[in-house]
Amino acid sequence: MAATAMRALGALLACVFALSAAPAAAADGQPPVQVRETEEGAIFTNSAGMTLYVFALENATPGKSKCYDKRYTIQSGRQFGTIPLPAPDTRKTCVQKWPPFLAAEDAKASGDWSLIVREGGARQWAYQGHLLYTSIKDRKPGDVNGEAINERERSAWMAAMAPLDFPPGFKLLRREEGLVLATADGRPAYVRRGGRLQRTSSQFSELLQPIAAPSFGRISGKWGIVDAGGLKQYAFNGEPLYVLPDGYTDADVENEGGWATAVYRRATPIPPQIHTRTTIVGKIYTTENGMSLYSFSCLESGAPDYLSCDDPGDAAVYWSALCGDAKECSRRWRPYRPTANARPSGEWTIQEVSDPLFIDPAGATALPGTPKVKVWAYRGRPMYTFVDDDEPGQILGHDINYFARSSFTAVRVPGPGLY
Amino acid sequence: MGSQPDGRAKVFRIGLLGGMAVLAGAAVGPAASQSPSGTIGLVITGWHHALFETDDVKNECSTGLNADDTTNAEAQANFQELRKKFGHPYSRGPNGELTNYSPMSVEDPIPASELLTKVGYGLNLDGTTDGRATPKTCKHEKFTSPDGVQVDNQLARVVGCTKGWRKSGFSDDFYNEEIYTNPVNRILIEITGVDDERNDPRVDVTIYKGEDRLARDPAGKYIPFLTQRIDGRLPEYTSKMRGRIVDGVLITDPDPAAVSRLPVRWIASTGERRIRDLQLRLPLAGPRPEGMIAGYEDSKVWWNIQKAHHIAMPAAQNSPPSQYRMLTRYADGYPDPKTGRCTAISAAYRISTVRAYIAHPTAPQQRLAAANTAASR
Repeated sequence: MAATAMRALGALLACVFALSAAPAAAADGQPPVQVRETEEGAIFTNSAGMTLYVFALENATPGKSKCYDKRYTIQSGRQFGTIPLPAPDTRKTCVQKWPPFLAAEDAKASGDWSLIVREGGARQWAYQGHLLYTSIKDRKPGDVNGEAINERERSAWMAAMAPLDFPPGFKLLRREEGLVLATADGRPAYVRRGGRLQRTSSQFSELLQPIAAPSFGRISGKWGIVDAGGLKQYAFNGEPLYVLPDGYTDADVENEGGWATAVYRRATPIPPQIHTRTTIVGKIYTTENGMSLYSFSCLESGAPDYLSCDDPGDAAVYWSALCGDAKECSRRWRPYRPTANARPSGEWTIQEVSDPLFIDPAGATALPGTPKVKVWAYRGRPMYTFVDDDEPGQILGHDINYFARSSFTAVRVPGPGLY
Repeated sequence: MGSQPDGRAKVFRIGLLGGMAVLAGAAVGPAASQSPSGTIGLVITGWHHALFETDDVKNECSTGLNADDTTNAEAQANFQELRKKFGHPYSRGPNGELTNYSPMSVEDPIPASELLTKVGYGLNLDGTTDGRATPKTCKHEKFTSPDGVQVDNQLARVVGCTKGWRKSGFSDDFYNEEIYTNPVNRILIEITGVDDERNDPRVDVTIYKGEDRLARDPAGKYIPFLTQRIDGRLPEYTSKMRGRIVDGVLITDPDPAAVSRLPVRWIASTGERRIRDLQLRLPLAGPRPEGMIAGYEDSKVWWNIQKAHHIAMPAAQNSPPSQYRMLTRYADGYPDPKTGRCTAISAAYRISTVRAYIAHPTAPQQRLAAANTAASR
């Protein structure tokens, strides 16, 4: 099996590297972008450091924006026909939620960077044909809050990732420990650690297999190629890389002992008030007492602009549908309050949210003048506990959702799911 | 009771024997009443409400099948107003509430159909013959089983007239398909200390959460004697019971101190059941035993796993306002000391199982072998 795996992986990876340099900030008409390392990886930002995004709904129409400054009032769905959108008077437009990354008058297209003329005549930057936007969910440079944090959000917006200086066949995986090197098919790469193997090689061949490298080609930076008993093997930071064969999981590696994932960028530690716990829905974030933490997300999937509806000022019915009137919603979903000396860390920040979140269920959330409380937020999403959870690890608030619209979801720690 | 001192060693030996049987193409069903290994492994492959159903639902239900949420919504006087105001036909409450999360926010205009039949399936959980209140139960009406025993299954009154949970109903079919497709639903039963599969006065039974997939043969039957690994990441889904085997039927005793937790994945939603006084009645003969699991199911937790029903309500044909009121009204177990209202409901399910080799996570060699098996499926 070892030889088979080596051959398959070798074929996958065997080609000459074509290194591509990440564009740096430019001047004199060039795109005013930067590359910033984040917990999600290297991303393009504007000159202020704000993350740039692409809109997947535009993939079918390259070079043409589908994000307009138009306020829609009607939604349609296969099940329910055409019906009004809630709170249409206060509904934001796509441009309000996703401001286009506009170009200066003297901007000039260059290489992968092009300029698209929007309706109305403004010019917008595009990278490899994908129009670029910023997000109102981002509050400070380095935030990547515009990307979904769980599958329920079903967001069509993704951060514009800068190209990686990696050999072909490698990519990055987001896991609890940080960004981890992985093969193209999503298997994490491992390196040896000091621990003693629990099995002896006389009983079985080793579980983890070297990641085969081509015997020719150039390699640079932290990457290397080492000799693995006649075969060439990739290395990173001087450590040979290994991978699990198909069908094996993290648990098998743990049982094996003596291995660790190959971390490319270690995750920023989470605040002391945030803990983690493995539950039936996977490893999730909890309060310091072990109570499950939930985020609220919302998408108007029946609206032509496919906008999120979980920002302050969006329709309140997406809350009230799940928890009733303002008082009842406040009773069921309690903001997880930071302690007085709490400090943000990495993707965990401290925000203020309205409590109660709304007054009129047919109106908007977060009206001016409503009382505010401080709350822990993960990637810009306020964290809540659920009133029906009676004990640590219970997840009765998970997947409380309003069809393809709003949803409360237990917040998963990045990494592989249970199954 | 068995005398094997080391359960792990025992399980490993079964794995080897089973592997040889499969390689040799031999019949894999246990032919003799002796269980030489002392251990019987099972994995649950089917789970259905234990309902007494005739060909005509009107024989059992006062007005036939229940009207669903949409039908009730359209019968509400303010249906069009709510639809326009909140933008969704399922927003039935005054604040646009979905009824599965706020079932008390509105009443169904169409009265619910009541289960009238006196015949039902279940176990006698409270030990009475008349359903009178006891320190741990509320007064309730018993069913008489087809063999004349007074049994408890109040949950049947909550779901019995809902099309989705009846035979070939959408909810029942969907859940049972998800038992096949999703490892969240992997529930393993391990019976240890078995000296005689026909009669043994004392066996130990442990329910585990498993992590592997099931396999069916081309005819759609579950394949017996495959390896199923215990999911060591989720020890909270482990329950231990004592029992016995009488004339080939496993009978377990309730543990009054235990709350058994069982995982559930249903319609893209993951949750759990919490059952007190969990009991099994399981004829063990053959590779695919079928029997009953019963106990007092926590009402709040049970209602929580019904939340996926709002996605499926048109197909499932249930209406949460009526169903929730029935759940409250028929709850018959574990009264709240403050309010006196029962917090759990007697429930009984028909389960199907298939024999399996249960691999413990502490046995690394076996775990690797099981991983190979799983990878090849």
